[in-house]
Amino acid sequence: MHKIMIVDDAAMMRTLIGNMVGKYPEFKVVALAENGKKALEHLPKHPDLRLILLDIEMPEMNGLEFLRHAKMKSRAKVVILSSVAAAGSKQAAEARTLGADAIVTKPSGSVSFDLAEKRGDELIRVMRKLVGA
Amino acid sequence: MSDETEEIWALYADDGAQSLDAMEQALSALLLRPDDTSAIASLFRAMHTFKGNSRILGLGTIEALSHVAEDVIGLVRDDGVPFDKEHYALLLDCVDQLRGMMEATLATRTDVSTHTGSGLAQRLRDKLQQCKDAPKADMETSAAEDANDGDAEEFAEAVLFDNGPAALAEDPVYRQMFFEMVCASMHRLGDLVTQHPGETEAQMRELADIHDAAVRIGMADWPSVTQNLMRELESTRDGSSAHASLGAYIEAQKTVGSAQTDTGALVWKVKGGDLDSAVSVPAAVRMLLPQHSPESADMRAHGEALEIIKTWAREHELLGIYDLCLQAEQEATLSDARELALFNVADMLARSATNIADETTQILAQWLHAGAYGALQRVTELLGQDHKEWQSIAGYLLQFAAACRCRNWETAQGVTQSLADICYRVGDGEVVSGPVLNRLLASFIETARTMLEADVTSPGSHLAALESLLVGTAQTASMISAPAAGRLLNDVVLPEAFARTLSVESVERARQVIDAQGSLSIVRADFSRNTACAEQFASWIARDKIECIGSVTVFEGDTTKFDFLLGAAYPSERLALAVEGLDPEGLTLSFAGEIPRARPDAVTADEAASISRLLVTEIHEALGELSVARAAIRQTLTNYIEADLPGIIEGLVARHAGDMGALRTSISHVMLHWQEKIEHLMRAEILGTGDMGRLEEIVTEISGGIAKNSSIVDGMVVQVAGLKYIIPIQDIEQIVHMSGARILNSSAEAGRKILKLASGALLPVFNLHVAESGLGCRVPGGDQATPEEAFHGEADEYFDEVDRVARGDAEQGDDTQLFVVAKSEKGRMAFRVDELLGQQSVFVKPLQGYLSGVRSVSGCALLNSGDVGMVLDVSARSEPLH
Repeated sequence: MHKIMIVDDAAMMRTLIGNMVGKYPEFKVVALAENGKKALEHLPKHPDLRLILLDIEMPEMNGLEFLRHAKMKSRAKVVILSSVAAAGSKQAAEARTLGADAIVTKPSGSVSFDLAEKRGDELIRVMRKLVGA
Repeated sequence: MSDETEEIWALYADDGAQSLDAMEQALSALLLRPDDTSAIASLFRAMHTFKGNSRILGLGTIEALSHVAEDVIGLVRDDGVPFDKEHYALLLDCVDQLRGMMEATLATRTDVSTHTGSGLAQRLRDKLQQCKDAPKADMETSAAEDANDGDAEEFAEAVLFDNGPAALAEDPVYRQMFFEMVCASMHRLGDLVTQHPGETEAQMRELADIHDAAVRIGMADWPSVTQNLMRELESTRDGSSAHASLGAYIEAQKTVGSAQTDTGALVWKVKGGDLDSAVSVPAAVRMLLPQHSPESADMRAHGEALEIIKTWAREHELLGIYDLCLQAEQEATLSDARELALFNVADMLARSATNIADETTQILAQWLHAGAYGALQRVTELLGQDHKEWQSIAGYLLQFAAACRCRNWETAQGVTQSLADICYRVGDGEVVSGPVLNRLLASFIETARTMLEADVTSPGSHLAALESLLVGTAQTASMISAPAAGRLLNDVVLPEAFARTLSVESVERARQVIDAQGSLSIVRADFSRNTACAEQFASWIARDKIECIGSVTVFEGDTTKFDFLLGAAYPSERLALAVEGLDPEGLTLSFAGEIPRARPDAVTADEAASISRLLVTEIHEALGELSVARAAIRQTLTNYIEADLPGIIEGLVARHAGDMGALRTSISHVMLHWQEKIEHLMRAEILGTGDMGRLEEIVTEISGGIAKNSSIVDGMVVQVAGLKYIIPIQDIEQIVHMSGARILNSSAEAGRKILKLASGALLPVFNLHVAESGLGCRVPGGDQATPEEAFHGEADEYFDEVDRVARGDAEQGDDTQLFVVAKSEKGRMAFRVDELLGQQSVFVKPLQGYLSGVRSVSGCALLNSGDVGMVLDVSARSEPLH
């Protein structure tokens, strides 16, 4: 089972993503953090973390700053999960430079739950690819 | 409603309240300190979170309001727009409005009416536009000042490091001189230690001399070695130990060989165990970077270096760096993956904020200065392969981006990183590559090489212009590569409400369904009337043969309804019957329409556009070859010009000494030979230039010809009354100011205005502000004016002004009006514009649906600025002037 941390300042988003990922038995959400600073505190507690699902816009320490530290300290692959990281955007470009392993646009759409599921398919595909599952 | 849904709504309420509170707190802080950057960052984040959460729940009206507010805050946060009292008042109103909207939404579980907050949204949009227009000059000044601060200093230091000592250390002559000097010092030090052991000052001077020389010519590890020896001598006051250490170090280097000085240094240090990681890890980094040791030795040197870095990473609990080293080790052969992994190790160490970061950064900067060409070359080679390794291409692009960072080329760095991101996405299968992307990458590489060359020959000059070329390339690459391109290029014409709100993936899914089934269906539902029917409907769309692609909220009077976009495994007629079966009276459910595949000719047009683009690509490649040939001609010319003609003549003089006749003949032959060669080359060069010009014209014509079928067009971007238009360059004849020309009234053409050029030519004047369809109208008389009223109001205002100018009663300096004179098959005409914004290549999207009937506009395009501009169809505009 691959251990996962979700880092997002919106509790709603953490729950939504957690529920989405939790439906797949090969993944287990072991940590939730509302900003990069809190997420960094989690890293030593979970040396076997395989994946970090990371938002960019967050208070205290944003996702890119966290990424800068996390890629050095952790073996976990990092998936940027953000609505501001469209293809070729400044944020996506910087995330790539800092070593993001994949970028997925955040689940969004007019009917939330149905579309979230559809967006989730891509997220799960990317996650499986990164952990070699 | 399920428990999960309830939980999401509860979280929305909780998160929303927190975000709104955070916004109020941030606004209070900003009222006291408008330059409080942490407060503005907090305000932005809170608004961003609120917007994102609203979007998740499909609350389009709330999302739209928070989106424009976020944009306003973004200008303050990112673009240096000062936070003022109007910002405060507007955003406070916005927070209140959003709170009210959220409460209303929580009560009904549906979006608020689209009219809610529309006045406030308009005020925010006005503020946004005002801020976008106002601060440019200030920002540029500010940016220039910033560039003159720390970054410039850092850059100067990097350049000094690169062009000074490092270059000398790589010169074998200097290295030899250095080692001879070290050996001489070694002997003198030995004598001093033996004969005058107490005279440590003289011994220290010997070591200091070696140290200074090592620093001056940039010997890799020597400065740190000599520094340690001097410290040792200072503390022990006994030069014998320093002498022995120096001897051991020289021996270690002799053993390994002078070509591998760094390896020798490292081995010595590791064996000695008396040097700290601040020295040994950067030395290991130097060994990782490819050109510092011959290929045959790379693997061994890398292995040693990686061991040292792994040990250091383990001690510092930096598991990520440790793993990256393992990853590099796993690549057993010299490959792109290995080289990129080694680079990533070095890059990460440089960013590690540890005691080795500064020196590693310097080493990396030094390597990147020399390695930038290599990175571009590797990208070119990889692009030339049939099976493209997009991950490697992206990796080398990031390497080049790092080189740009070292040179302080911020724009180029950003553009390169963006292209790398796109290439990664191509590698992941998220984005489909094509000839246009390949061509754009090739153009990017050409421009980047030119920048590197310009940096060597005339540092600093033309950089801004070259960087702007890169921006254009990257923008176009983003447009054709991003998933949004699916929205631009596919042949599904969705109703506006769906097109505006559906995710890119849903649009793509809609296209797939329509490809498979031929159509999509819309079903309208009013669940307020019949809960049982709503449950039946939910159960029905959950079946295998029905797929719900998305839904939008529809407001009919006081009633909230939903439009569902459905795909079915059977024809729409059958789906309509099924809906009727669910609700025979049609009170809750009704079939609201079918979305067929777009016009058949659209497919043909796309295909035509694709072929045309390929053709343009081919021609571009031919242009590239011609360009190379021309460069070769110029190089040959340069060789001739720089040849040692005096030397040749001196040789002839020596050979024909005393025989003036023979000498004269020989010299004459040589001169004639040179003259002929130069003239021949010059003719070839002129012909080549002419051919290139003609080819460029053809490309322009083709690009223009396919403008209606999605293409890239070179255009002049102009602004009229705040709106942006693109006039194809091929259609522009000249650009004139009002002064020097005159506006006349044509009595024969019902008062039409005519521009009289200095040449005497008379041209009809068109005002872009008013299009036939009303598109782009901004109505002076208010929002309720019809397009016709708008035309007259606008025209009156404009021509009153023209009349004042013509009478000469305008204020001095205000009489200059700008006109773009264009030509088409039907004649010439003039467009009055407010401002020329510059030339750029744009990717034109054809207008669809209702807008496809607009005659004067061939499409719309996303500009570099992020704005959307209308591409003018000059031939449709043209009316011959009688």
